[in-house]
Amino acid sequence: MTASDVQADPAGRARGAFDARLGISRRPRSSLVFGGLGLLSVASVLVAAALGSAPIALRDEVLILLHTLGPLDMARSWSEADEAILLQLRLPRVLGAYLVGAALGGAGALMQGVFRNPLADPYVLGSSAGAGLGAVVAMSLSMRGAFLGFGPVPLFAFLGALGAVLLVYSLARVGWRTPTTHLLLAGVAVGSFLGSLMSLVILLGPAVEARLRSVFAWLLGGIALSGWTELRVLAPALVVGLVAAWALARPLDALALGEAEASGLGVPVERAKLAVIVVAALLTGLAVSISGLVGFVGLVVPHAVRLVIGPAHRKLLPASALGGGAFLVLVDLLGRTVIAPNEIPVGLTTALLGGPFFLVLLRRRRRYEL
Amino acid sequence: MSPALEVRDASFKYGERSVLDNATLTVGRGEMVALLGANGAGKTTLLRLASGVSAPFSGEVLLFGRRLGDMRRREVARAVAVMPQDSAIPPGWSVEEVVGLSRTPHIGLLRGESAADRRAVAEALAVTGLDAFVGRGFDSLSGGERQMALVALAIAQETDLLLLDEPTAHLDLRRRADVLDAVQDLNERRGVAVLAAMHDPILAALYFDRIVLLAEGRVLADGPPGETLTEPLLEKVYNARVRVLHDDELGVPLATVLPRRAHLGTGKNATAAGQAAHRRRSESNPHT
Repeated sequence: MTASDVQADPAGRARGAFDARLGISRRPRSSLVFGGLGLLSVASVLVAAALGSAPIALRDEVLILLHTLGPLDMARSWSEADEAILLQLRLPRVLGAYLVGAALGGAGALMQGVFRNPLADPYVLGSSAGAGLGAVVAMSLSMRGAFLGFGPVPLFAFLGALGAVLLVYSLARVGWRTPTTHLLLAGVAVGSFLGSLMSLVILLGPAVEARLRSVFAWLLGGIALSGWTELRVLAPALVVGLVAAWALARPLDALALGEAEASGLGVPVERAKLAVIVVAALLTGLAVSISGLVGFVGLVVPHAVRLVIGPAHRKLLPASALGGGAFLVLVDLLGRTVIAPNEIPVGLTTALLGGPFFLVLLRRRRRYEL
Repeated sequence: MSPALEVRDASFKYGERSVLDNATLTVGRGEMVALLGANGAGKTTLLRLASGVSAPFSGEVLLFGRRLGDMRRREVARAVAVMPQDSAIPPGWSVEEVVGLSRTPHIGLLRGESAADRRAVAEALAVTGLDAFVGRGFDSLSGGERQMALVALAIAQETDLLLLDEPTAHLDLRRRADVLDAVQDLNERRGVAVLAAMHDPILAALYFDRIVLLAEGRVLADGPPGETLTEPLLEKVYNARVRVLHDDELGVPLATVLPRRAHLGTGKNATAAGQAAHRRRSESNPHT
């Protein structure tokens, strides 16, 4: 080893340590990240819609889509069965999964931002227990009827989720302030209270034996849609919700400094907190109405995205939505293909795959402290 | 022209405990004013009233001639910047992102940053000597560097009034000067008025035009360092033994607290400086 090597080496090592320690300057360009997430979204939807118990050739799939969407009137070179499966069964389900994942990813990023707490997820204010109670009540009473194409179970789940969050918010309010610790504690209390009520209804409600399986399946999460009906309402509502979330990005950024500091930067803190909570609750309620309780997406996806793109919410929120959508589509695809014709509920698969995936990410970036 | 900040007969209570009692204070445009007082004297509360984080129970606060209560939060944030305490910023934020948060009151909700925003941030980073830290994680900075970044944040907010709450706390001697030099520089270049709660009366004397002494929520004295940093006033404010020294070259009073048992100039309980002086005296005059 020459003298210059000795001299060069510590410098090189120091620089290596510098990078590993600081990481931030090595963030990829955000245009690259969004391009990648966009591609991943389109690809995951196309692949997931093609695969299943009756696979459709990718070429046919693209032709069918072009034929249906575009002005091109093409000669039919595909079977009508394929077209029906794709357009009436798979595509609604896959797009439904995408929307659920996007909503939960966005809602998770909102909740983690407003609470400045890495353990926050879309359900932190009791919406899962509220939705569960609503769904179980609707099931055990064997309700019928529909509103805007939604059956009683999704409707009650949505109302339950929203009701639980509003209850938590009103309980946590002290005068004109709503301290985040109060919110979190009230969320835990209301969550376990409503969860117990739900268990009581399951145990004592009418017609339990017959419904236990569907109750259990709902609680484990699974995309349940009847064709396009629900998506016609859900899709625009979720898009509006995500745009509203994006408008809250700057207040959320300022809140990272602390509430008094955000106020000093011109953010109306209490109004911003309420807006974030309401938007997150709406996104969550809409998602669980058609998916049941899908866990983990809203917790893990924002963290994974933050590792790549950084914590600023103008990028984090849309990236979490795109990433959550693609993630849930792929997870749902796995869940319905690996042990076909049986299905693994998507809520189980998210945790089975998402858990280890996230731990790998975490261990590769020791510097990132949750 | 109306002053940058006027606090008129402001009172504030936490529950039953009165923290500010008819406090009146004015900070003229371009003026640097230090707020001195014991812990709990109401310095932080006064700053909170001045930034609109809290509202007074009675009395009023005016920013550049306008009643603070009538202004929208964003307008307040464009008029007055508060240097944050070293807040627990979550990991992952880079230095320039944290400093960039200062532009929040200048950017519309769905807008991106303008060239003016980027220039303000770059300028603040340059003034505070932090341009070398661009791309680094805020949580990887040392305590002193973080403090400088928070000064940069307040600078980049581009307001005409700057409020600082113990900006030199936890800093070594050199860093204290760095922070206050950056503030003084801002004051001289852009005429920014400054109101700072300070613990160190020496730094207060060296950097500020005027000193306001607070005791138990009241303004005890208000004037240039030569009139306010006196032994009787400071002993009353801090309820401690205080010695004020004078340096002819600096031309300001330098105040320090004294050990409870200090016998100036004599004995084993004297301060080190006192002992040294005592020794010198006895050596030059061996007959005493």
